[in-house]
Amino acid sequence: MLPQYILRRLFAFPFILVGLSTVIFVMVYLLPGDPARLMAGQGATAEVVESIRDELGLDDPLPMQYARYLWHFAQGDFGRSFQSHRLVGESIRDELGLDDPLPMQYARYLWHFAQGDFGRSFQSHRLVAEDIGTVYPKTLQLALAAEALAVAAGVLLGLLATVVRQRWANAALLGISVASLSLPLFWLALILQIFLSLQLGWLPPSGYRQGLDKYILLPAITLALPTAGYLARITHASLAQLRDADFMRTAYAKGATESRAVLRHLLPNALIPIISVAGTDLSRLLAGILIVENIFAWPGIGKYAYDALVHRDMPALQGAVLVFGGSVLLVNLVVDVLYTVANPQIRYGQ
Amino acid sequence: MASKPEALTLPPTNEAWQPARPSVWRSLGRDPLALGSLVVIAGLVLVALLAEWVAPYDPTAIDMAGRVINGQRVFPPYAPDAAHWFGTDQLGRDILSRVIFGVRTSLFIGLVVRGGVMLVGVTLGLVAGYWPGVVRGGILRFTEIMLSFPPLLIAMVVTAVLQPSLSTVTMALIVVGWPDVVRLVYGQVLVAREMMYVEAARSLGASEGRILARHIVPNILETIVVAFSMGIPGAVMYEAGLSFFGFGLQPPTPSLGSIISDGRGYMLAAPWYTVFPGLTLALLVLAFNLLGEGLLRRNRRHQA
Repeated sequence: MLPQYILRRLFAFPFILVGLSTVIFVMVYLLPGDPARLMAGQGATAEVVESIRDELGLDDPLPMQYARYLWHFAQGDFGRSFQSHRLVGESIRDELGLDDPLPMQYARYLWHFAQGDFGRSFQSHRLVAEDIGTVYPKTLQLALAAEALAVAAGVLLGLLATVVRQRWANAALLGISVASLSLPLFWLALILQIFLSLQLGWLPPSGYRQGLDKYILLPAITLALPTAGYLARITHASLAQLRDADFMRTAYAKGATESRAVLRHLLPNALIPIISVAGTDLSRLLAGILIVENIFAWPGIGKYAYDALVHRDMPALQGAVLVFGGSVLLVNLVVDVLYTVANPQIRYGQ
Repeated sequence: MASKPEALTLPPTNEAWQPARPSVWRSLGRDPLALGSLVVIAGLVLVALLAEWVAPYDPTAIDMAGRVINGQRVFPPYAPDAAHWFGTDQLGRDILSRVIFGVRTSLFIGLVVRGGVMLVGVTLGLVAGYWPGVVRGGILRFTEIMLSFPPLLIAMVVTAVLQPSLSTVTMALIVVGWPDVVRLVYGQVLVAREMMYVEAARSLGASEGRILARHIVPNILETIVVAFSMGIPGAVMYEAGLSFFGFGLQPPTPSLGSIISDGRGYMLAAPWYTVFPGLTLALLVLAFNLLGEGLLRRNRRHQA
């Protein structure tokens, strides 16, 4: 049975998502630049721009725009990308918006009808939800690869420092972890690009290739480094605390070798704080995604969001930020649940 | 307190007498790492304040005349030498001078942003910790929403909305920075208000406002100071990140982030162009991180 705290969090989750969408909607609405003009492209007549404004409902009052946004959002529809679209009049079917889900067509129809407008051509462009569907897995792939690298390197380093049991190992670990957290991520990315790729030629400098390819290594290493340093420190602290615990003495007394005692007795007991930090760190890692994806031209959601912002592609930006924020919320929630399950002593809010 | 008769204040009976806490300076003196970082910070602050006099060149002075090396005419960017310690950029501008002025911007942003963040965060945290019900729920939920955003992207959206400049970058970084502080202060207030001394003050008839101002705030002040200092590197880093992506400070305002961004196009031909500004930025951030660590260690020692 899940504790009440978790149930409350689960219950609040959809409401927080709606709040998230509200904040995003207001922010994006305030962005300067006329999306209709951007969408129509250069040299478009005023009439075309006006018809686009109409289709998108950009002239509607703000509450109306927001209501429509929420309604579409509830259906998993983030609108259409302003960037990837074909010209007006290219396809009749698209113009009529026949591919849209029926409730949306109906809502639009009603809204236009109320204005004395019996329908207008719709531009054809990809759905933002579809776009995100293609970029999001690539972000996940990168994030998981980085997290795996970070956990492996961090736990290994922390374990080493604990086994060595020397003052200098302690200091070195502290130094590595603070230093790795102090390096600006975008600079680290450039430096790794210069040395590992441009000078040594070990790794491709940027780009993406389908499947597991060495293209993922450079961005993943960049993302993993700060996390690895932090994890090493947590691992070490958590191991050092239990190193002289009673169960360790018992293990040694029973004749366990050092490695057996550490790997079979110490590590499992110290794992909970490590798991928790690794989990909460996943959300920090997601924050770095924006930088890393753009520098290494990794076509994930961070790059998608950045491109959307640069091109004032509002629906795309809204969708991307929403999915981004939702992921972070979800990760935090899952970590909390796992944490409670792993350690029944923890009862939040009591 | 001064109006109360001395005889009525009972000495604590069940607690051992504790010596007064050593001053921040004395405990930092015993922590070489923290002391060293303090020296580095002081040096950087001094350089930033005296940038006009310390910088060897005008950071915007362009020198495109070219030089003759081995009978060949060479144009900038020039590699580091005795005249230009960090080399020059593609316009012949001295990178060291640009970095010095960039450090000034970074420090300014770090301090101002952190000040604003603390102002907003501490206020909301106190309110949330002290007024249960709708107010607390609202603040905490809003905080959670803001925490879930990708901070850099939101800062970019804010500067895009307001047009990038020194003041809008500051505002954008305050917008993404405060939620963390609310969480921290809220937790601290929850702990502090259950303390005996708060109970005692309340039973003596102190108003809630007085309890907050005289008992709770002084007791969480140390946490607030540490949070202020530990947040500076983050603000510095985000400003550099924003400027790197072109959503931060615009030329001619010098920023380490935009210097690094400019150097991107010359990574192979002129690595010093990106390396030195980045190292300076890392040094700045590292020093503040180590100082924060030292302050944290000190707090922990005394709480134990």
